[in-house]
Amino acid sequence: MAQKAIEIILMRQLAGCLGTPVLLFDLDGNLVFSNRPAEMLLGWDAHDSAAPPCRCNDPLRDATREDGTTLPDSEHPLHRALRNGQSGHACLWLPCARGERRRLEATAIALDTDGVRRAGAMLFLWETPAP
Amino acid sequence: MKVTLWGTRGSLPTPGCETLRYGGNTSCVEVVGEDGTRLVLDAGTGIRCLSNTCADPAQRVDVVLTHLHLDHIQGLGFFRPLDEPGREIHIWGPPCTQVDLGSRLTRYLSPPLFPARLADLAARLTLHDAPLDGFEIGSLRIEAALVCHPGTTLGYRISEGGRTLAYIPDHEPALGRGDIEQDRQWISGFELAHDADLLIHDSQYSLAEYARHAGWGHSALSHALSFAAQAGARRFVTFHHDPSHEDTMLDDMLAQTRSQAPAGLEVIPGVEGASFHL
Repeated sequence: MAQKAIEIILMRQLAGCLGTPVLLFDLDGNLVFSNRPAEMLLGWDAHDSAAPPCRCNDPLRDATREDGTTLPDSEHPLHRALRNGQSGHACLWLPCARGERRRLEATAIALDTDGVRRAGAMLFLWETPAP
Repeated sequence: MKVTLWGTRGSLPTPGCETLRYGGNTSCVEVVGEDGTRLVLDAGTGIRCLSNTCADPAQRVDVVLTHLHLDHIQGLGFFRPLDEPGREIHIWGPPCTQVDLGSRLTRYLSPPLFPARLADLAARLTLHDAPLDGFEIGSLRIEAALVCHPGTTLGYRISEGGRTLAYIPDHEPALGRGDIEQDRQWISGFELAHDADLLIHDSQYSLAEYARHAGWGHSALSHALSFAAQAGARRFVTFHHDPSHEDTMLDDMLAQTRSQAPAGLEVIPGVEGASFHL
């Protein structure tokens, strides 16, 4: 498999050191890295494997609004980062540990490398209590 | 392709009797292709002596910079061909979306840091952002890629006739881990160095020194050896020696590293003046 872009490699190194849940995606929307806090939050038991869990695009596909309806792409921060190269933020609901859907704040940042080339996006998650 | 080391010291020129064998000049490597194409990799203080071999005013010279830290451009103002009227010189450097290469180099090559300005030099000078999708100069094919080092920093892979040189003088592939990742897709610089016949790579620190300098953008010698082994390089030349490392210390570090090298990987001391034919 080809070497990943240096921006992805460096973000993985940073995310691996953070206590904040972080997911890292390539430009095609494939999940390439999740740090341990993200795996714990989302209930992915991947810490015993070197490879990231095969959950590509789940945070895109499974996100819903509070009423259970699917979050449209136009409102999903990750979609906004990957497709438009823009940062985005939303409150959404995702399946988490023990199958529970939880209310999360999600901020996605496009990894825009030089104004022309993009490497992917990173998605920060944190749990917030329902209002 | 002939490769000659004109400066192998990192960070700061280090003249003196303690550094006579490895040399005290900062990064500068000459590459001459089969058709006579001449590249100068980085313009550390080693480039001043290289000037003496650039006698033919009709010969084009390409200076290819990995990045613009001072130890890699300090010799530029002393590269004699730049002051020869009509001499064709091309300087290639890392791309930047905000400031062009000329403006960035002029921060150093202008008063008060330097008496002359880049624009005052007599040569026919052309500046280029090094294309990240590769480029050719004469018979040499050059691949450039961003590598892990503070600021925008490139490594280069130079190929000709099936032979390959990888030049990554400032590089910290162990950043954040303290060792080299086993999965090659996550190793900074891997594709540049993959199966290289000759790898010139940052090996600034001992492992103990690295622990105090993690994040500074350089490698422990043992990390560089692991990187070379992972990449499948055949010969690894130590480079960017720390200014505080005297010849005897570098000898000791090299001897220890050679004993740890896997079969098929030759570890070569980066000594000023050494040449390699690929």
